[in-house]
Formats: sequence, structure tokens, C-alpha cells
Amino acid sequence: MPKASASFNVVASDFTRAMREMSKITGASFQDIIRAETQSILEAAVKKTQAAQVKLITARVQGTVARTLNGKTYLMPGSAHASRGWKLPDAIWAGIQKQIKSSIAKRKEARGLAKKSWLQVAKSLGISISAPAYVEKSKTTGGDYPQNATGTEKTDGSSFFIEITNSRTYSGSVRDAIRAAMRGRTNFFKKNLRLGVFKKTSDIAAKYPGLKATA
Amino acid sequence: MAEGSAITVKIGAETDGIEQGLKGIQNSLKNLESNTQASAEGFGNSFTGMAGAVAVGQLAVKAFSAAVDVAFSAARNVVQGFGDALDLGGRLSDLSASTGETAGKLLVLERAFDNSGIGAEKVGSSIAKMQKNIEDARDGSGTAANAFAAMGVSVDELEGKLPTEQLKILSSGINSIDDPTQRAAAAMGVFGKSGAELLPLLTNLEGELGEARDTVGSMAEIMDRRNATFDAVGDRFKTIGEKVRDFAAGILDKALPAIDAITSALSRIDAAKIGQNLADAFLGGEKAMGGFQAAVDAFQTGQISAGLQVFWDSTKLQAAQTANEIYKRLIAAFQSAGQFLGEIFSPSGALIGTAISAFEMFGKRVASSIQRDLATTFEALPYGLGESMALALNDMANQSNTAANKIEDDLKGASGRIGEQFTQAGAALPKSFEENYAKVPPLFADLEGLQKSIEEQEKAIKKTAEETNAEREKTNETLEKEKEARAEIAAKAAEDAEKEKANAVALVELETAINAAKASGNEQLVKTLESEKQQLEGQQEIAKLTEEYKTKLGVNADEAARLATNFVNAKNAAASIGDTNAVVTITTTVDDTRWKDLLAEISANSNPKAIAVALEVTGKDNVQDAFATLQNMEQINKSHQVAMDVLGAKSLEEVKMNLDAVATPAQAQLAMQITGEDDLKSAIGNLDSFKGTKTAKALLEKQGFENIDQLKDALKGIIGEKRTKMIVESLGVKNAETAKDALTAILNNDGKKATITADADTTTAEQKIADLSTKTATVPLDGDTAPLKTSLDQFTSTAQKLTLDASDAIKTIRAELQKPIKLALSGEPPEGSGNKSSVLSGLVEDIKNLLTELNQKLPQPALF
Repeated sequence: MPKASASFNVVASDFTRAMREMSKITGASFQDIIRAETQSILEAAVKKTQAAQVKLITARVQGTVARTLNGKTYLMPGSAHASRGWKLPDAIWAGIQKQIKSSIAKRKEARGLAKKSWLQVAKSLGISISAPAYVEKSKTTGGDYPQNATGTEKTDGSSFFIEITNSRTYSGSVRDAIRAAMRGRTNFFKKNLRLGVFKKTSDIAAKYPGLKATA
Repeated sequence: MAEGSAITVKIGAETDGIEQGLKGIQNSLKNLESNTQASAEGFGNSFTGMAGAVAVGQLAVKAFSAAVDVAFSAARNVVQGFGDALDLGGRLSDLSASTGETAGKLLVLERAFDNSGIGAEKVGSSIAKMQKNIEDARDGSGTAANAFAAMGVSVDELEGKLPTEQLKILSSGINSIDDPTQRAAAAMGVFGKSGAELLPLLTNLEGELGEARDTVGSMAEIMDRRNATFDAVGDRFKTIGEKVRDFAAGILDKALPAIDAITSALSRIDAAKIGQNLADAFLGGEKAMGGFQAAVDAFQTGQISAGLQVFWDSTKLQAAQTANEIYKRLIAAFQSAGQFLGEIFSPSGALIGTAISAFEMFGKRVASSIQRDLATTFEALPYGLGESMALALNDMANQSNTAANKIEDDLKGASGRIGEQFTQAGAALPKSFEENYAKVPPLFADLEGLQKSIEEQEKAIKKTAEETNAEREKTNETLEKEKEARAEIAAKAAEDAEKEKANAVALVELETAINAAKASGNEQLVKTLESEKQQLEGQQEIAKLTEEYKTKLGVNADEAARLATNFVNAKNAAASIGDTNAVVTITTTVDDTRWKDLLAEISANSNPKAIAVALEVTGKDNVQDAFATLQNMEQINKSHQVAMDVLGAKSLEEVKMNLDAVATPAQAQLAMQITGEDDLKSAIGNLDSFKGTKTAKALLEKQGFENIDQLKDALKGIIGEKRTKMIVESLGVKNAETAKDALTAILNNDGKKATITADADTTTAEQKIADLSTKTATVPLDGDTAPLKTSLDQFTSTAQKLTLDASDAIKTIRAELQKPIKLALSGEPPEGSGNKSSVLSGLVEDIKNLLTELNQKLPQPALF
């Protein structure tokens, strides 16, 4: 469930200026450009947000020193604190193995939830973006909480903008990813300016397919 | 898992508020500038001083603009874009009105004209020309009519259509003409001289329009909807500027007579002085000017919000102060001018008095003249009738003349008096102006509060700016240091890359030399070069690991280099054993005590080495059978003496021969002894007829025979059930087969050469060596540094010794394992080494010891 948290604003002025310039250059409306760029940003954010590695999940779960089964805590054989030759009764050992297997399975299923948050933002905006299958399927036992990652189009006076709110920030890479994605798009635009992309509609179409600037 | 705060991103709006605020400021500044300009132009040269002051005001306005530029140069483009949009809308609206085409389509046409290299400005003229020629062609004659005919287009077809539609029809018509010359002529017939220029566009009109439409995007639709509004707004902007001037002109028209009089009076005032005063007033708004400087400081130190606030407050203050000054000084100037005129034209003043005196003198002169004329008339009357009248008249004329002369004398000094009056009134003007100025209430009161607010904001901005600048200096220092550090790292990286490159080149060269040596069949050279190659690779790996250890373990360069060297040496030594599973030949002694150990190791640990030994010793191919045989061997080891005693055998071989029903030398000797024959064949032949004697019976019993028949069977290769049972029971085993197996195993391993192989699995050892770095990397994570230090100390000292030890040990093991087995399983055991079974036991023990040693010597101890 989303927790009450202070809002963290990503400074987007440089990006916005770039988009306004692009609007002027391409002749496309600012709204269209922002929508198209939002799609690119979210796709990049999915790629840049980190996901847990399967081998690390397994190693972490299996490396747990002590485990609790039926209300009792057992020191795991082979762990640093266990004596040499320490063994558990077969029934307990079997139960713990089952517990480990279940824990690994749950964690694997939840792998990619941070990436999925951008997918959910895109969905709430009606934008379609691509993501790996494991990201699309990822969920916890309680579901995938789409309300934690939303996006809305807003108009304030004459200005238009898309507001994205993502509460799934338990991984620092979520914040870094959106920043990097916006910076990336700004730099992409600047690079295209240098390369003269905006002189030809066909080039614009190739670089900015969302703008429908087909030749 | 730490819960972070939510992220909110506004894509496309972050600067909107600022930009809109800025637009307002820009517009205000524009208005302020245009108002002051209009005022200056409106009042013209009459108020030169004041205009000078206004110029100062304009400078101040420009200073405001400069402040804006510093902070928001980018946003100015938005304002410019706004203006451009209005201009574009206005232009398209006008063009739409003149051509009848919609603004959106005209925009698309303009873009298409631009794309074709014709130029957007040609759209209007081209359409106009086309429409004129359509009209001209209506009567069916002339150049235009011929051109339409050549295209196969009728005027009726074009009638009532919008220009874009007409262009499409004409485009189609032109495309139907194959001859390029005729095509150009037709185009010029419709579009005039520029027709040829339009040809590229007309021949591909659909395509060009499509591309232009895509490029223009939604702008066309916006222009369709809003061009009229854009035009109107743009026109109004211009009109507003003109209205200001009209307003001034209107005022001047009505006020001109008064102003004329006033200006002539004011021409005597020291206007330059007033101008200076007014300029002082502007410059006196130093609080506002200070505020602008504070705004610039704030922008430069990132205090955008504070900067905007103080900028706006300063703008308000400056505007209010300027307005106050202009208002007060105008009012005071008008009041003073009024007072001046009042004094000059005062009835008691010299000017008016002189005028009256002049009229009076004129009257006196006129009266005198009339009186003298009348007196002359009366003097001419007869009888002296008019004499007295003439005298009276002359007297009156003389008096009038005297008065006139007197007035005339007075008038001679009047100019001085008038001048004096003007001088006095003029001199009083500045004083009067000052008094009036002081009395005029300001338009905008209570500016002190605003000034105070600006002062406070200035202080706050100054404080923050100082802090920010200090922080920047600090950051700059840090950045400078970081820069130096980065340069150092980059230099090191470049050096490393150079080394790496050199090493790579050296490796390639070595590889080439090795191949050449192989090709020439020089084995010795190949060996030497491969050794060199291995050494070089080792050096490279050591260098790489040294860097890694420095980072991971936090040790110094020397220590890291030492660890890396030891690690690589140990790894190479381990790798030199060969594949991950090395087959080793073990020389060992398997004795009776070892069997017991083997049994224990097989049952408890499934030790592969023990299994290998057990299989070899028992001759079985599976561990279960080997286990059973070993048990029997162990049993026979305990009870073999009983069997030997029962059978009268001297060795285990003889026991086995009994079981196998093979005649033993003792049995042959017995047969010959009791029959008295010299050879065994004769003895066996005589046994059939032999009558038992007591001596013979005793001899038979001594070798475990119950009767003579049993001896005969034994000699013939037959063993009876009873005798078999007796042997088996005496050995303590289950049956004859197991007894034979166990005995065979014991006998086969007694004094014979045996190759016992065992898998020395080096994978684990190598893996553990490879894990060295990863394992040590986890040590420094402990928050308490004391255990870390201890661990590192232990690691470094232990690793150094044990790793070296492992290296040497592996070499030794390798050398040992390469030696052939030297056990001789056939023949007699070495003197003093006990019986054969004890030798076998020794063999097993040796295998055990060697394997244990092998296990210990592998570099495991170096791995904690």
C-alpha cells in the first residue's frame, strides 16, 4: 500500500525548454511532443531501473544463518555459527528446505516490480511501452499495487503537462532512472539539433516516431 | 528495506509559472517603456529637461530588461515566439482575407513554397496572379485563356473553388502536358513570370502539400481557428501604442493655447535645472536600483523565487516613484507658470500700467490736436465772437499736450520697469516651483513600506548570496581536487592501458614464436617459449589482482602485490597438475589393520579413495561386493590360524588349495609316506588297496582328513561336503565361495605389484583458490575494525605461508605421484616386515596416509 511520503520533484526545466524548442522546430504541438517523449522516457526508465538477480535471490535466501519453523528457530548447518557436523532432524530439515524453496519462488515472482512501476504509469496514461515478460508478470503475494505508480495529463491555464507519481522508491535506482531518462532525452534532442536532424522530416520521423512526422 | 519518498515528475510544465510571470513582467516593461517614450514624444521639446529625465527613465527601464536578460535569456525567446505567433496569425489572416483561402491551408502552402525553394512570401502574389488570370480568361481569349486551354482546364471548372483547390486542378493540368517547354509556357500563362519557378511545386503539388502538412502539424488547425484573433490582438498591440500618442495629441490640441502661453513663460525658467531635479528623482530611486542589483545577485546564486520577488517589488517602487515625480513636477510647473503669468499681467504691474499710460498719452495727444484745430476755427470767427473759445481751447490743448509729454516721459522708463517686473517674476519662478512641488501630494503614497521590504529582501539575498558564494568556492576547491584526482586516475589508466597493450603484443609475439618452433619441431624451444608465455600471463594476472586487492582488501600496494603473487603461484601450481581430475598412482601397503579402516571409510563416508583401494584389493567391481569381501578378509585374518592348524597347512595358500581341492605338497608327501611309494602317481594307485594303520590315521588326522578316502578325493581334485564345511567353519566365513574370494583377495595383494589409482580432484582446490578474493572481500564489512585487523593479519600471514606451502606441496605431490608403484606383491615380504597379510595391511595404510597427506597438502589451509 502506498505510504504517506514527502513529494520529491524532479527538476525538469532543461527538458521542458528542449521540448518547447522541439515543438517550435518540428511544428508539432507541445502536447503531442510531451506525450511522445513521455513514452520514450518511461521506456528508458524501465531499462534503467534495476531488478534483482535470480542468482543473488537464491544465494541470499540460502545463505540465511537461522530459520524459524513452526515457531522454533534453527541454526542452519554449515553456517558460520554452527558447529562442525551440526545436523537437523530429517523432518525439520525437509520443512526448512520447503520453506527456502517457497521463499525463493516468491522473491523471483516479485522480481522486476520496480521496473513495473513505470509500466503502470504508462498504462494509467494510456501509453503502450515494451518491457520484459518477467517485469510484466511481476507481483507480490498481495498483488502489484498499480495505485503506487500513476500518471495524469494536466492543464494549468495555458500550460500542459504530464504529472507522474511513483511511490515505489524502495530502490534508489527508480529515482535515478527517471532522472537519467529525462536527461537522456534532452541530450538526445540536443544531439539531434547538432546533427541537423530537424532539417528533414524523414529524419525527424526516424528519431521521433511518436511525433508522426512522416515524410 | 528503506521506504523512500515518492517521486513526482511534471513533464512539460516546470518553467511555465516562471515563463508566464516573466511574460507579465516583459509586457509591463514594454508598456512602461512605450509610455515613457510616448510621453517624451508627446510633450516634445517644450519639456526638454523633463524629456531628459524621461530618457533617464528609459535607461532605468533598460536596466530592468538587462536584469531580466541575466536571469531569463531563454525565456525571452518564448516572448519572441509569442510575438512571432501573433505576426504569423496576422499575416495569414490578411492573406486569407485577400485570397479567400483559409489561414491553415495558406500556412501549409507557405511551407510547401518554402520547401520547394520558391519562398513563402510568394504565396500571396502567386495566388493573386492566378485569380486575375482566371478572371481574364473568362472571355476565352488572351494568353491566360490559351494557357488554360493547353492544360485542358476550363474556367468554369475553377470557378467558385478555393485557391488550394484551384492549384490542384492546375497542377493536374500542367502534369498532363508532356512537352517541358509548353508546360513552362502554360505555367507562366497562369502565374506570370514566376510560373516557371513554380513548376517544381506544381508538378508534385500533392506530395509537397502532404509533406508540408505533416511538417506544419497542428499549427495549421490553430491558425484556422485563431488567425483572426491573432491578427486582432497584434493590431491592438500596435493600436495601443498609437493610442497613447493619440491621447497625448488630443490633450495637446485642447491645451495648446494655454500651453503656448505657458511655454513662452516657461521658456524663461531654468528648465535644465528642473530636468536635473527630475533626473535626480529617478536616480533618487536608489532603493529600487539596489533592488534590481539584488535581483541579479539572487538569480546568479540560484535564488530564483527571492530574485523575482525583489525584482517585482523594485519594479513597482521604481514605477511608483517615477510616476510620482513626473506628476508632482508637472503640476508644480503648471502652477508656477500660472503664477508667473498672473504677476506679469497684473493690473498693478508695470506691463499693464505702461499699456494704460500709453493709451492715456495717446488720448491726450489726440485731445490736444483736436483742441488746437477747434481753437483755430474759433479764432477765425468775426466780431471776436470765438476768441475766448479759441483761447480756452488752446489752453486745453496745451494742458493735454503737457500731460501727453509727461506720460511720454514716463513711458520712456517703462521698459526698464517692465523688464524689472519680468526679472522679478522670473526669479520667483524656481522658488515658486519648489514651493508648489512641495505642496503637490504624490500619486502613490506609502512607498516607505515597499522600500523597507526591499531593504529586507536585499539583506536576505545578500546573506544567502554570500553563503552560496562561499559554498561555491568550497565546491570549486573540491571540484579542483577531484579534477586533479581524476587526471591522476586517467594518467594511471592510460599507463595501464599502454602496459596492457605492450603485454598483449608480447603475448602475440610469443604465440607466434611458439607456433614457429612447433612447426620446426624444436620441442625444447617450444617448452622454453611456453614457459615464458606462462610467466608473462602470470605477471599480467598478478598486476590485475594487485589492483583488485588494493581496492577490495584495502591493503597497500606492496602487500597486495605479495598476495597476488602468492595467489597466482598457488593457482598455477594447482593447474599444473593437469585436468581437474588427475589420476594418481599410489604406492601403498594394505595390511590387516587397513581392511578394518577401509570398511569403516566405505560404510561411513563413501570415501572415493577408500572405495578405489577396496575394489582393487578385493578384485570386485562394486562397493557392496568389495565390502562383503573385506569383511570376510577381516574374519579370515582373525581365524586363519585355526584353519591352518586344522588342515595342517603352513600358509593361507595351502588353506585355499584345500578349498579348491588342489593337492598340496603336504598331502602328496602324506600319500607317499603312508604308501611307501616314491612318486605321487604310484602312491595314489596304492591308496586304493592301502589298509589303514594307526600311524597313517594319525598322519591323516593331522592334516584334517577323517579317513583315507578323503585324502584320495583330495588328491583326485574332489572335496567332500563335510571337509568343505569343516574348512569354512574353521575360517569363520559363510560359505566356501566367500572363503575363496576372501582368500584370493588376501593372496592377490600379498607381495604383488598393484596399481591403485585414485582421483585427486583438483577442482575443489582450484575453486577454493579462486574464491580467495571473494572470501576475503567479505571480511572488511564488519563495523568493528579490530576483528577486521585481526582477520587481515591472519589472512596475510597465513596466506603467505600456507599458499607457498601449498605450492611446494603440490609440486611434491605431483613428483611423488609420477613415480611408479614400487610394491612387489609377488614373492616374500621384506625381511622384518611380518607376514603377507601384514604387508597388505601396510599397503592399505600407506594408501590412506598418502591420500590424507594429499588432502592436507592441497592448498585448503590457505583458505581459512
